Amino acid sequence: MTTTQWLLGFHLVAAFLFVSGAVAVGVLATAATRRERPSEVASLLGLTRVAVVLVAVGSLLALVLGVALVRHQGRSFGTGWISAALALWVVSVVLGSIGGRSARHARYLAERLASEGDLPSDELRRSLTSARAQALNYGSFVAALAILALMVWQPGG
Amino acid sequence: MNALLFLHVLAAMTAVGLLMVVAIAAGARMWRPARLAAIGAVVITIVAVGLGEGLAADEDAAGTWLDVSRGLAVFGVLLGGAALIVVTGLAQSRPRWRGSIVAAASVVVSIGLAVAFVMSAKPS
Repeated sequence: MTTTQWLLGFHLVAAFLFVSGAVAVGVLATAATRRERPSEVASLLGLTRVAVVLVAVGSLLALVLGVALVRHQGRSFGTGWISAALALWVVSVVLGSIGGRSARHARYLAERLASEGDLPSDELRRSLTSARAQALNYGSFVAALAILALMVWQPGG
Repeated sequence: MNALLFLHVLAAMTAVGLLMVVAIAAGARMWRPARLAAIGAVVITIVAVGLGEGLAADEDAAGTWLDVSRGLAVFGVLLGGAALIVVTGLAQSRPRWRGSIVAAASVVVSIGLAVAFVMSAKPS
């Protein structure tokens, strides 16, 4: 196998960890919004931490291997779709990090409420369904999908 | 053709993401979310395999890499996912299965990643 094939293969595996991990975070977080008891919400949000680690590792490796691939193939970072993909990577990571803070706050709140009687709470519901946090998380995921689209279509070569 | 490739990769990424949920939820003995995720993973894997076959026909693709990735996708991810549906359904009354199910789901996730590697690197 050539170096390009190795780099491309592991670049895609990293991209899978990035996007599939984000899918896992989204599924677990959505499941949490459908629970009433704070202990159940806390458990489900706690599980997202494992998936977040996969997203972090995948996003970083995808960037490093993608940059290595660009250099190895003698492409220019100024090529439109490559620079757009790099910008979208930053957008995705930044939005995901800010959105993740809201989820962490909701988990801390759920853990506290669980230890104080485990009764449903409006404050927790508001925290879980915050429009701002959802917009940030969806924005992060859409940016990741846009990167995938750029990788597939490679507009402008 | 690019649209087909995009949807194929997106479906595969979603399927692997749901398999990750199976492993993570099974680790916490949350059998209902684990089982629902396993069902979703199997359905979406079927979609991904169907899109892949359409893509292969369009491109007239052939080679060992394609046969290997087909084999891994069908016998590893699809059948593995179907087995996970069954075992996560049975696990509520068999708490000792937790470790084995987490290990099995992790293996199926790894097979999914191996398919991604073979499909993109095309070693042959």
